[in-house]
Amino acid sequence: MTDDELRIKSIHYRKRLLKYIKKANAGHTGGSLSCVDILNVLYNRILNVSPGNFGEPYRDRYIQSKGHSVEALYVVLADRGFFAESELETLCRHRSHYVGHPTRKVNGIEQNTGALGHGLAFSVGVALSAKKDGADYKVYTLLGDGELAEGSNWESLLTATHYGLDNLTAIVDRNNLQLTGRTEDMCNLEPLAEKFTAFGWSVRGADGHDVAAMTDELRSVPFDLGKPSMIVAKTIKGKGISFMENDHKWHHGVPDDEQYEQAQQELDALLAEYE
Amino acid sequence: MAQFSIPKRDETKEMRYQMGYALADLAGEYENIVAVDADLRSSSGLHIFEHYHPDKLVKVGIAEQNMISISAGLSQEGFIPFPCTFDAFCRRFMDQLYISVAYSKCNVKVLGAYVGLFTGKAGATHQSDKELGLLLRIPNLRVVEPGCNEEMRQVLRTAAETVGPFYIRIVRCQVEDNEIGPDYRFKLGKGVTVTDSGSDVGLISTGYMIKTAKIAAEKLKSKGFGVRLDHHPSLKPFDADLLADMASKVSVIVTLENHCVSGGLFSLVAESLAREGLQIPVGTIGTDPEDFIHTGHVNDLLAHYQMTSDDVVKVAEQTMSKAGI
Ligand SMILES: Cc1ncc(C[n+]2csc(CCOP(=O)(O)OP(=O)(O)O)c2C)c(N)n1
Ligand SMILES: [Mg+2]
Repeated sequence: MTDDELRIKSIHYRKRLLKYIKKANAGHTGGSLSCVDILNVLYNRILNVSPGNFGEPYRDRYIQSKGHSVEALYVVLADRGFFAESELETLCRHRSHYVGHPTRKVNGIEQNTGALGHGLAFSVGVALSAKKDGADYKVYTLLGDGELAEGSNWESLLTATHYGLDNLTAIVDRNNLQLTGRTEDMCNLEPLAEKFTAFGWSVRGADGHDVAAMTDELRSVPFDLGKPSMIVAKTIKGKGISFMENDHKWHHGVPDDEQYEQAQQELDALLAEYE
Repeated sequence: MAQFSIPKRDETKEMRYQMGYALADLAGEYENIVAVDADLRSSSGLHIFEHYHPDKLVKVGIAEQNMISISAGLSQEGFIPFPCTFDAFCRRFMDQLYISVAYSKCNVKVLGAYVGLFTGKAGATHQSDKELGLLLRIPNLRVVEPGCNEEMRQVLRTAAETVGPFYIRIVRCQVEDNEIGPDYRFKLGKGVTVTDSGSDVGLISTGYMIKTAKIAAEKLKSKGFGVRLDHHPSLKPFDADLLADMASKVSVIVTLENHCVSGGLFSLVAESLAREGLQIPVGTIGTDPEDFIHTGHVNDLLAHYQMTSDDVVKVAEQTMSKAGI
């Protein structure tokens, strides 16, 4: 798939995730728009995972620690054939498996998340298993930047280094916003890359919306043999919709009819540029 | 997006928002009250507190364990901290609550927001219907679950004015301002008889479920049964005397809680009755202890877990017929 084909996919993913959030009248809009390009690259270029091999021990593992952005994951998994997209019509309905946070009842999802601060530790356990088993699959996890205030992450960073887990890659969705405002107003994270480095990780930065740049970084892990890899992906919360970008109020905002139309039109205009 | 605005005090019935106003009022009276937020204030209602007292809000980032132990430290030096996050996340900070707060008898007042089934569509990670199992067994901790806004305001005041650790369970949804009566005064360790029209069925409610209990009581009465309804906002300490009095007068009891039917109100009632040697059949209304709560609209969930007033009537009748009444 070419870079442009991926970029077009991202626009379609955005259109779809907004559609299902609107339908469910619930969802984490800002964070899903923030990470969907990263998921696009992971699932369409990097991960050795498919509906065919999902049960196989050799598959690559993706664990979404920032579970609230599940709508982005759902549309990507549907596109990859893990389930029919029409299933998402039931999003958040009673008895639907398509809950507001990831659960293993949905084909393609590795781990139940949604309470923040679990995914990195779980990923360390999976990566450590691969080392113990001599297996060569890789483990990827996606963290929110606000999520990094949870102390459990820093415990896991230590453990990953301790065991030299170079089969583990963590990506931080660095959009500088959390639920109620700016990360730096609530829990200052900078200098973030230096902190990860000091914890023994090999760290690189990239534009989290640039599918080519993300591909380059993800294709070159491990950055250092014997060390876990960290990508600090610079992103924009609400990316792609003018009035949602960089506004924490869209964290779990659902567009009204007019806003929804405008959002879809903005995305259609982007699509037109590729025609 | 409504969540980020400040609803008008006299226009909202949601307990979370009334909590934000009540705490802001108390902080006007008590210099040393602070609120502590772990990035949920626009949901929990603390954003209203922040609006009136921006300097009295401590933000700790998304770090609930941190939040509880920091609150313990603040209290040690004379502040009265009200840390607040979703009740579900008390599963995360239970040890901080147990050791930093309760063991040391620190003057911390934890506000558990969005208790029980009323969290919306988030799924099991965000629903809290098992936590009383441990909270009710932490020494020194008082646990209170108000059922209406007037009661919630009185509970906050009691917590602020009583030295020692509190855990207060707050629902997200709309509730009545006063379910009990104009003269009602909340007292720690005391329940209250809300209606008393006879001796067939005793309903025991806590928290939000007072509303369902009142509706069920009317339905049972119209079916010809005598009903007494006792409301127990104070779960710890629990009013065993009021329970014993009810048990001596009614034929069967039904407990109603916005929690699973193990470890919470039903367990308190069953333990207390057994301890006193009082034999009386008890039916239960609440969620299933073996189940992770599903997603869905609150009304779907209440129907799923058989927690509507019609379910109360059914359970009451079944309990009576099992007892041969
Ligand atoms: C343990 C826990 N605490 C609080 C929350 C509520 N919550 C959900 S998302 C969120 C903000 C997350 O911010 P960030 O990690 O930066 O994610 P993003 O900006 O990518 O949405 C919060 C506080 C939660 N899900 N889990
Ligand atoms: Mg963020």
